[in-house]
Amino acid sequence: MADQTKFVDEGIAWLAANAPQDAGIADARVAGAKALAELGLPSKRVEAWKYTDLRRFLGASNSNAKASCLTDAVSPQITLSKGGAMVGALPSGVAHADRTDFAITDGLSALRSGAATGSVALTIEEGAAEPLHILNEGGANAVAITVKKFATLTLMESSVADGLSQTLLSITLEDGAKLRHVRLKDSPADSADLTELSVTVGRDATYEQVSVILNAGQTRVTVDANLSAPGCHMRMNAAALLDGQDHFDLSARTNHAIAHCDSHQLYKMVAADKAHGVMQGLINVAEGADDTDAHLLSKSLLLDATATIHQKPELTIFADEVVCSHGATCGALDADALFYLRSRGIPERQARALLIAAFLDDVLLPLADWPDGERLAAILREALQARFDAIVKGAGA
Amino acid sequence: MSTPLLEINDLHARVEDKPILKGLSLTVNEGEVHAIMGPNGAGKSTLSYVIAGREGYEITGGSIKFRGQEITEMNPEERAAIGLFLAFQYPIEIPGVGTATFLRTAVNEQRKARGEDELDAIGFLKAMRAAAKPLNITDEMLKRAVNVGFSGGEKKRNEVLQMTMLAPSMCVLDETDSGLDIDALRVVADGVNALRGPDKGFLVITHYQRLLDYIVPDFVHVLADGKIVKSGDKSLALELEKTGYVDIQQGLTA
Repeated sequence: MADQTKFVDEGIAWLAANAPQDAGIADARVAGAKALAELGLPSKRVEAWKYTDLRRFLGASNSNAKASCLTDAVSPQITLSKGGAMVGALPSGVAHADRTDFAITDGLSALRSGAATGSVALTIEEGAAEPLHILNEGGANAVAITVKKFATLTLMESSVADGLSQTLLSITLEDGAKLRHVRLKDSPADSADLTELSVTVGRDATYEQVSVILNAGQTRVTVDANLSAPGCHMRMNAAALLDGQDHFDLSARTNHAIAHCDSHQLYKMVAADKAHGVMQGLINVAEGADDTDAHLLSKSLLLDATATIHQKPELTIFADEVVCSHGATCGALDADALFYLRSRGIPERQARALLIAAFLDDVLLPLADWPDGERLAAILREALQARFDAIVKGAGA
Repeated sequence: MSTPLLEINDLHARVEDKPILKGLSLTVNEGEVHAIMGPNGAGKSTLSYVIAGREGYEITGGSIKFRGQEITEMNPEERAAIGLFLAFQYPIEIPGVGTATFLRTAVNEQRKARGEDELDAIGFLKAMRAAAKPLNITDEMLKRAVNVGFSGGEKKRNEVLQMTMLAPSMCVLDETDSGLDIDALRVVADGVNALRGPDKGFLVITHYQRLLDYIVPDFVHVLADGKIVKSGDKSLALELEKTGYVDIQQGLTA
């Protein structure tokens, strides 16, 4: 024990000697290393990490970040990388400050803090110009976004990082605020991504998220959504196309802390080859959170016998007057539908692509109501199609 | 005599380990309408699926030739592209795929397979609207997902629309009358009759004579226990309507 303590101290001394210029980042690293020595990382014996092996994440390779198809819609104003957070010219009504908290609560956050590369805090005022595009090329960065009272924002987040990226995104919606959040995951196959997303939704505020996962590498997204004041609306949708050795784990916890809020979650995963998809979705309805309307549906398609999907929807309800539902389905492509399309002259490959696109497409439906959402949806549809074509070609080789 | 459109010779087929077709032979020439009638379980639907090339139906003997070309090794999309069409007894619902998108993809894939130019969006739309109108298929239906939320009659009309747009030379209609009331039946039959022509062939599979009042066949065959046991003209259908299939089945077991 004494030796181990000594080892930690030496490590910390090394970190201090090799500290980055930024004192805040240096402090975060030291604090992270100390905490990590105490907390350790969760093993697969921990229920929340049962289907995801963190050790595989630590073996990620540094190569090059990919490009994001969302750049076609809006050039990124903020870039996160191993060099920290770079803030370019922001839309009017969006302000930034340098510092935010690396919030160490467990081994995972300690690891991130220990590797801290940068941080940025953004404030969105009412009437801000939209949208905001954050390009995430890696590193361990903490981003805090506060959408002020009655402000509205479309946030685009492109995660294209190589190596092991660790991102903390903390979102606070003040009363009446509205955030539309599109997340794209498109990273090199040998990358790993530990993202923590925490969202706090204020009174009569709306949080909508549409995620598209094209190339997951090893990805774990932990979402902690808090509906903390009456009249909140939340919608989270995700479509994942997984292939090769891809591992994608979406673990979302939704807490209905108070009455009169609604949440809708729709997750769709398609897994080919040896890919592994994980969806853990817990909805907690607290005591007194009456008139809650909470729904979670997770649907998956397995394209190969070697692919794996784990889905675990959970519902804990401590209130009386609620409407809640959760469900999960998993299956293969519908053979009848495939034959029907082929009997009309549509080649098998294209018939499969049509059915898979149709399966994933309702995830994108909320975009139809967003400003410029049809364009975003078109970009994402095209990217999904291209990814699917690549998967089928790979399988045919 | 020109090459027959469809020539089935001593066809044997099984599903899993169960033999269903046991030596079926049938020839359809250009311009002919053949009806196949038969009791439940005779192999009527199996015949239609085997012609269309559905997986899971194994051909254990015999041949199916289309314009002299053996097609049993072809996949369903290849058969469609050379001019075969199966109108399904129970058309499949495909959520998320729009009817117009589906039709356009099918038409253009077939054209591509035949080395023809693809139809542009406007040309296609015009052709589709023109084909949809006599079938009472509205623009709203064309926007909906394929067969999703369609009534039984709408689904069958949609089959005829596809048949019209794809312009096959050999159509197999599998129990197209099932689930149709008399008005819907007339619309569907009118649609089919409009497609009849000197270079087209039809194989109308049905359980009841009723459909044949509207789509009048040149030949009627009785399918029982996996083979054609009796052939005749349209009067055979009327005869069957009176006597039922019992006599034929008894004749088989006798």
